[in-house]
Amino acid sequence: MMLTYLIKRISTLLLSLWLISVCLFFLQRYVAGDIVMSQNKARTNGTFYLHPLEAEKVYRAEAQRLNLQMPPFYFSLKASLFPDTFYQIQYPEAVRIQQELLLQTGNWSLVQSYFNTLTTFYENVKRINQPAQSVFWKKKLQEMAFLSDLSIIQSAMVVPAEMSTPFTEDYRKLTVIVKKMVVSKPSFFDWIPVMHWYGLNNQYHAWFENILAGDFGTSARDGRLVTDKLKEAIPWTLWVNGLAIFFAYFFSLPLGILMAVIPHKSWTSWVNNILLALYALPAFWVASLLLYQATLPSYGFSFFSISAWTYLQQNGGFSEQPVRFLLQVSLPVFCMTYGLAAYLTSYIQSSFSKVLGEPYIIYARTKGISGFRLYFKHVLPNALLPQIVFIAGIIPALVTGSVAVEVIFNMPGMGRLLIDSIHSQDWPTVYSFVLLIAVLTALGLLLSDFLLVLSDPRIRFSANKNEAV
Amino acid sequence: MSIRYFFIVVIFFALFGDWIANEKPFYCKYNGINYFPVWESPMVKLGLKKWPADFQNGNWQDLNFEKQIKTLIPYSPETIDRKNLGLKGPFDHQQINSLHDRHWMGTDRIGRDVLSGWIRGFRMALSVGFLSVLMAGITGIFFGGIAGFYGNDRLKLSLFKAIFLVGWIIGLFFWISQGLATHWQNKFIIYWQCIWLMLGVIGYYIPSRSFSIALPVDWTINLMVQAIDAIPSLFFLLAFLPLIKNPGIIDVIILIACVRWTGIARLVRAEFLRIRDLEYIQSAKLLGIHSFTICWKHILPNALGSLWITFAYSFAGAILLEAYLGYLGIGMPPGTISWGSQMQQVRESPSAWWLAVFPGLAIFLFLFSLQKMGEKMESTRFKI
Repeated sequence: MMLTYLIKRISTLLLSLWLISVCLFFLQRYVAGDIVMSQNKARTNGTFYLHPLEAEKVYRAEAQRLNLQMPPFYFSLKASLFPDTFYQIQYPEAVRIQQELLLQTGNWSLVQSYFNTLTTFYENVKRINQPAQSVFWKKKLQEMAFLSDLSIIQSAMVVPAEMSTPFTEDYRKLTVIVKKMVVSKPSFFDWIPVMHWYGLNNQYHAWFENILAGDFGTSARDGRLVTDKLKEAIPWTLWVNGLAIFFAYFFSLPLGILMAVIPHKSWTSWVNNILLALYALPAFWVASLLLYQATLPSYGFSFFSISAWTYLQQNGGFSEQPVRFLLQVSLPVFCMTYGLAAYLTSYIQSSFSKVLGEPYIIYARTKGISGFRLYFKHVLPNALLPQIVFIAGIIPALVTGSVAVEVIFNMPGMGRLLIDSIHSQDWPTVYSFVLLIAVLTALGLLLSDFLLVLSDPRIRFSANKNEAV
Repeated sequence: MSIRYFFIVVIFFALFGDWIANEKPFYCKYNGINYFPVWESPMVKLGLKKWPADFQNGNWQDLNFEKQIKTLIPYSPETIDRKNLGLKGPFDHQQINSLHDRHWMGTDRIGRDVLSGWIRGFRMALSVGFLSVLMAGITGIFFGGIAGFYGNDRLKLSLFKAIFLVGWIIGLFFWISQGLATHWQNKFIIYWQCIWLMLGVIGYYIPSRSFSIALPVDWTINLMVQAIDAIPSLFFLLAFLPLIKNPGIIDVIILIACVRWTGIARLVRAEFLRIRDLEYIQSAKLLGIHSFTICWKHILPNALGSLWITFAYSFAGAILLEAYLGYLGIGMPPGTISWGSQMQQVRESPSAWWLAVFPGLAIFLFLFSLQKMGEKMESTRFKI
């Protein structure tokens, strides 16, 4: 039973993570836009423009350099009039024009020979130097390369007789092909979707393999490895989140137990209201109010400096200057602790009092077990069991919560890295970050499920319902 | 009790915010003609009524009316008060003609009145919360209900219907993967889907129980829920917002609903699983009641009790997410006025405390009352 459940659970988890990775890969591809173009714009100071007749070679070489010459995914679903090598056309303008022409004619070889003829014609015009005709044809062909409507192409083919003299052969060829194209129409069967299988040699697979090997690619902004950036950021977030969780439990455990044990009076409901208010208090509001205070040394917040983070990072951090480090971290930690502590307190209180009402506790009381032993040996372990699930859910929640706190306090953690990357449109960093968080969250949930079962013999899996009961 | 009053105030501000804070006067006399600009402005926008040209493009503050009754706060959220540019605080000296013109919550960097923007924030928060919970609720109830009611082995299809469904889905996937709209594909997709629709209709009338296949809907929906739940909601929003070219508030609402439906779906699934095995559902099935009617009339009302609590929490979560995004300055068009975008300005000028305190207070009160409401619902639910 357990093994069946385990296999089922892990396989669905892996499948969903794979789906997420596919989704994020295509998001990244779409959002980043034309990478070849933007990279070249950055290199040539914004003047990377090519004519369709000349672009394809240059563009394809650039794409090869960036490893974009492969098909994007394992398969493609396209109408059968598209050739399975259609992904090899790289230059976006050329892709658009050839697609339009293909849709009108339904004959790929015709479209290809049209473009080949156009290119050779253009090369010939550039080679043979005849002032009037060369200028005329150069302009004409450049115009034609941008045309995607067959009727307009046809009308553009009509030229004065004296212009065709040096290029009679090319002109004749082109006319024949255009005539053929005008006649050709796609049939109904050309529209049936066909799946092309490309195999493992594709962009997604390469990307995914790199990620499994721990290589998240390079940042689009500063060319550094994303892994290095994450490595720098993760310790800060871990420190702050770890301290926040520690302090939250440190305060909430005794308080929650106390609230559950003492009899209900009118002031206890006020404490509950205060806890609820603390939980509802948005951390980013408190953080920004605190920062307003922290910028004024006259209020006594001089221990915090918004620019001390890099100094601390370079000078060894906690191991070298523990006091300075803890003081610096104290404000973010406070902002993230109070809400969690308030939530945990009411959570522990309710689960503790729920366990207190169980028959076995009443039985233990009648047996005469004293208060302290009852609470800490019989009630507390049972009351803390649901916390296992809770901790798994807490980690993504804390990372989410720490985003704004890190941004406000200028802390160089993961949250700020994410927001900075979004603002500077550094998509590889953003999406690998999201993927990392997704993997961590899913693993945490899985782990908590199993820990719960291992620690509580009352919980059993039922394999057919795919859930813990 | 007090929470109820708070919500009444919120709804009042959301509905009548334009009547409280508006640069247009309630009533004015201009060139001898009486106008009711606040009342008439929607009609003018719809083209049902005409105003003089001075009204349409002029600055309302500079017009010389013969008579006028101003609104309580004589500024719209978008009005730029050129005399009080650059962060005038509530207690600072303000360049105003009378006490009525005072900016009670100060102004922001470009001279907009904070109080009127604050009142507009109620509408923003309420609509974000309401619409996203509505969308998430509909989606969550739909998918959760299907998953809970049918499970993996109860939704059986005849072979014909299954073939029709697969063909239909392939057609849809093909259409989407090709970018949804080019003339020829549209034509083809219509043919394609018509063929499969016809097959499906034929299949509906051919009794073929022996060739039936059970669709693993529960597994599929669980997979979807698991995949979306693995990404924390803020990260989901941050990952998907760049996909939209010029995101507006409605895109944010839809994305929030996309993240939030999974929690509702899980709850609905669990409730449906519990209720579908109860005796009254079994007897309803024996009576031959259609399964849709069973779900809609007999299971859903029973499940709704615990759903309302989740709705309240989702409402709070949606408002917090929207404020968060506004505060981080991501995903909102530059002109949007909400509590989050008001607070965002504090990041550039930390000394303008009024831009942080008032919107933050509103967010806090809103969240607190929603949490309180949820808690109250939780405690009263089991007493009934």
